[in-house]
Amino acid sequence: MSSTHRWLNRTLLAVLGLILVAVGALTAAAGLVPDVAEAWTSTGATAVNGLPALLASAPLTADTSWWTIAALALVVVCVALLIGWIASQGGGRTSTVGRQGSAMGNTTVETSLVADALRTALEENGQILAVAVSSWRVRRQTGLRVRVQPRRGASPGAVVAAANEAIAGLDTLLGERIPVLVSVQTGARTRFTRTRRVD
Amino acid sequence: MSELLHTRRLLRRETHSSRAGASVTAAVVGLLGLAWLGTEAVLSLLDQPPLVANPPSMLQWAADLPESTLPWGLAAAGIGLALIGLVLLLVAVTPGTKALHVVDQDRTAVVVDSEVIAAAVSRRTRQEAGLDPDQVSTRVDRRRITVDVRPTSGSPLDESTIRSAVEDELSGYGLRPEPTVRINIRHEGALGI
Repeated sequence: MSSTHRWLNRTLLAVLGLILVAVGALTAAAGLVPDVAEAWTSTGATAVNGLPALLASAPLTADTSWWTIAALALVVVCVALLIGWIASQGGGRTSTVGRQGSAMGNTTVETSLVADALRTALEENGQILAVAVSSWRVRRQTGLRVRVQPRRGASPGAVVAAANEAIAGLDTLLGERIPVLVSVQTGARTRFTRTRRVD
Repeated sequence: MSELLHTRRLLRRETHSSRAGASVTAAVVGLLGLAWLGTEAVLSLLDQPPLVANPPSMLQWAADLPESTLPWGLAAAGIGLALIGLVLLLVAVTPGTKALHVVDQDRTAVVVDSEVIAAAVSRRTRQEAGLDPDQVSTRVDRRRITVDVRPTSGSPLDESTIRSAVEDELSGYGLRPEPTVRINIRHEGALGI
């Protein structure tokens, strides 16, 4: 539900995967095919022999080269990009559901108001143990996630019906229909409570 | 209309993995490697002794790899790398669907955990056949629900009544796609229940 860039994740993982497959295939081929091993060694030898000349071509001081600095800068840039990738995971949770502006000022609806309303409406239901409400901003639009933890063995049909009724009430309360996702899931409290034998 | 579209987007985000875990793992492994490379480069710039090897000798090592390593060792290492790459590719390409079932609704998007459905089906079966909780277990897959019943020894059960009860229970959920039901009544009965 968070605003993680899913396509970015998948694209980068696919690119990394392809690189690893290519490198792995090349390495395996070098082990299995003598010609590839020979080509590898000769290319490597050219690179090793050419390195001093390359480093000398752009000297910074007597024994350091601009190329070393450039390589180091490349490493730093890659590190920054990877940190950016990690930082881009998750996010998007907000504490306001909606905002309306007029000449008189702005009105914001906090998520806690919606959460309280839904919790009061749903927790009276004997089949529902816990309700958690969070709001998420995904692609410039706010959506609500309502996590409902039913009692063990409760019929999802009844639970969903109760949730829908509560959300219809929320619609009239707010006068606006926010996108809502209801997730009926088990949790710690479901596991530690017994089934209702009588219902 | 945009509200409906957004609801569907939320539904997709809830039922499919974001691959955040794999991404963070890959990025951390990459960061560790780069941090090491960067440290070695800085150490060699400052004329300090390297941690493991300085950059020129790393290049030399890579160039001599086919000569200094046993061929099968190189092949095994290559296959290992390729396998890791293949796993990453699979993670990127497969949908990563979670064990959640989508329920048809107009106003909201609704998903139900497989475990919740399994518990409800077990409860209904138990009530229908008058069994103890230990005698019924249900397994919910994407498209199939398997109810495993162990009847009380000496009192046989009718499969069709259980099946119709389970189907009646499921018809109220509106699962999409609708799963098929399999009732599996075991031959050995339970004693002392």
